[in-house]
Amino acid sequence: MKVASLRQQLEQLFPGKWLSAGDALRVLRTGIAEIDSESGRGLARRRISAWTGPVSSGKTTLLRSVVAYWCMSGLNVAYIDTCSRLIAFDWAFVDRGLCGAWPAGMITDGGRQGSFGQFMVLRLRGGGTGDTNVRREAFWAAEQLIASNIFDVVIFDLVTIPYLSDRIYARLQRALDRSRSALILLRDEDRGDPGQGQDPGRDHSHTRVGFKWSSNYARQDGLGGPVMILPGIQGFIEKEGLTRNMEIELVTNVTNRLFTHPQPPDRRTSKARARA
Amino acid sequence: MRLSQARALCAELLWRDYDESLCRQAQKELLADLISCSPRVSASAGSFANFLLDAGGLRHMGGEGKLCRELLKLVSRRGYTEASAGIADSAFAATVAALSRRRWLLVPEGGDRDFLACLPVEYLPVEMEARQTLRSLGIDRIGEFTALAPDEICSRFGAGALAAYHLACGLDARQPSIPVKERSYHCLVDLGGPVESFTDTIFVIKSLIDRLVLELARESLCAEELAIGFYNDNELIEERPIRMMSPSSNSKFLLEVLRLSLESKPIAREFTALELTIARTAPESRQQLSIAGTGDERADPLGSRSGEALSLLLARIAVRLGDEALVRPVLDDQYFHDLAGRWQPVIEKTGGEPSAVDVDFVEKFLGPSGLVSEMVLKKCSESDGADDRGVVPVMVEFQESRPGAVNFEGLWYEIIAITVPECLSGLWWEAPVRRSCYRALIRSPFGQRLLVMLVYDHELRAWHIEGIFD
Repeated sequence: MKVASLRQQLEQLFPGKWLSAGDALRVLRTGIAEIDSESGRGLARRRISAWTGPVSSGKTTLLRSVVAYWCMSGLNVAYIDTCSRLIAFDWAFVDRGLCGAWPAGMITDGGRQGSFGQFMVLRLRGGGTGDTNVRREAFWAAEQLIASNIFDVVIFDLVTIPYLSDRIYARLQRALDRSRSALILLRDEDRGDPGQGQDPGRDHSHTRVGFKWSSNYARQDGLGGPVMILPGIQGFIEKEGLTRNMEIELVTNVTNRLFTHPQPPDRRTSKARARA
Repeated sequence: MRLSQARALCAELLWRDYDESLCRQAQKELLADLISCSPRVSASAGSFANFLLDAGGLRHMGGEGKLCRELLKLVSRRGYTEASAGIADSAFAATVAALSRRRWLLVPEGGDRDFLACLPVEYLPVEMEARQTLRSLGIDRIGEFTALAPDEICSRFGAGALAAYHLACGLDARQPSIPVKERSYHCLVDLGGPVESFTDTIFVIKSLIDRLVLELARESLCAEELAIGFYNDNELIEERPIRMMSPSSNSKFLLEVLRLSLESKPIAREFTALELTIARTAPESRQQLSIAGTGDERADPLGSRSGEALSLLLARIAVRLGDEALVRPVLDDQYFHDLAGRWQPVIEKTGGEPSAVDVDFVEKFLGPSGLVSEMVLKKCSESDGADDRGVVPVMVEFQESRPGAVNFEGLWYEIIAITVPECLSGLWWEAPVRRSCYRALIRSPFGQRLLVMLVYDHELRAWHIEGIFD
């Protein structure tokens, strides 16, 4: 019997009794029950974790809720936005522990009042991940943020870069070994054919978490029709050779923005309407 | 006048952006010249163009009129031909006298109050609101203002107006002082031969920095701005200013910042001599740093955790990627999704930009649930076909007067579910915007699902995808 499966069985029999004081320094809990219970109580510090999925799969939304959980717990998080794709409004409340859509099973233990962590974003401009200069600057920035020992988590948005070369992996791992940070590689799988361009054998991640939209989706109705669409998220966690599947349901509110003008009236004639 | 009008008068006109350091430098040079006219000279706080000089004891030296003529002649030689001078018992009265239309104005001895009494209240150093109130009360002259009781002025207009009252009565404690010679810190080293690469001279620069830091430490100063000059046979080929994120007297830190700055932009030519100057200094901070492990760490985990490490990280990032690379998200006073927030640089310039939204008020009275967004929206990149606005123009096919399919990246995606539009309009004073925003779940022919923000722009009459929810 493998150690991991034995541990899992013991965990099921005696939940919460196996987290020693040292684990709190070695692992980072995400607050998502599905991940924390499956992947050995969270993501490992001083290790590279991969957070992958198609370009639209809910992975960044889940990651944002985890970042909010970490900030609420007093941890500092840095995000390397390689192609400057993030919108500031989506992340404005994250450092206060607030996020829009959050997983239904998220553990909110309240955190320490008035002792929130900091959230910063490093935005790179240029021609995207295809531009070698941008890639070089991004890898340099990741190494600097890890080596500074200021941030507990560094999130690196690889966009569509399929894998890290051995040399870059070694440099990042060396920087991680000398710090207390965890590095999360956020990667979009190729849009046309998921899995294309990736070589799983070259993925040096300690933990790999993958997501995609499930076939079911929930919707919230407003006065005139649906105002929100919330697909479910399916995922898997791969760690130490074990793979576990999971399903996560999102919960959110409808954003309260001003409706400054009604739908433009349809001024077409009846003939034009009929033709359309 | 406008720049175009000025250029029409003088074709050789040169335009320069406002540079405070240049103004300060010009002020210092003029101050050095004015010492020849009076032993006590100081520059007025808050203005580069006003100077206070001691005009006492001139009875046997030609009188005050001679002093004014000499001052104006000296200042005109420097190129400032529109200068004027005023002499009075108090600094405030002298400043007001200098504002008169005459080239110089002498206020009789003991006559400051009478001189100021007949002047309009616009000369008083009070806020605009107080000035308007005085006007509305029928108080047009400073003499009418000084006729009021001081405690009435204080109770009605505040401490600022009371200070103005004292100035109007000729009571001004400001006095010019003996100027202190500014010490310069610079080192020059001749390398003895041409050097191409900066890294070959790193040990020389280290010794220069060590020496300058030692001199700074004797005066309890820190370096705020450095300048390094490269010479080739007595010809200055390049000079680089390097501004520090925060003043420092740590030689290792200064060397690191210097090295990063020069490595990011290597020297194009070979050089034979180096000059290192500390262009600006600041007094050493005497603030007691918090001891690690106390409550301060929990209150400000980023601030108290090794300030040097954070400063060095910010300096590295600023030098290599720019001041605006490392940012924080803050709210802005707009309701369009892409404009409702902005990225505020962590390395803020002096003053910084105030937050447009009182987040605490919103959180307390409205609750955050109405403001936080639903899912993370990511802008499309150029590889997706996005234009410079970060949006991807698409074609939409209607089915039963509702969007049924969308052509995105060369593929037709079926719209599985779509919300009612969120209709937004505004920014009429800049460029009018009218948009209907839909959240649509679309499916590719390969079965892949995307949740996108589909927008119809009523001004352009075109559809585009604003971003992809992830």
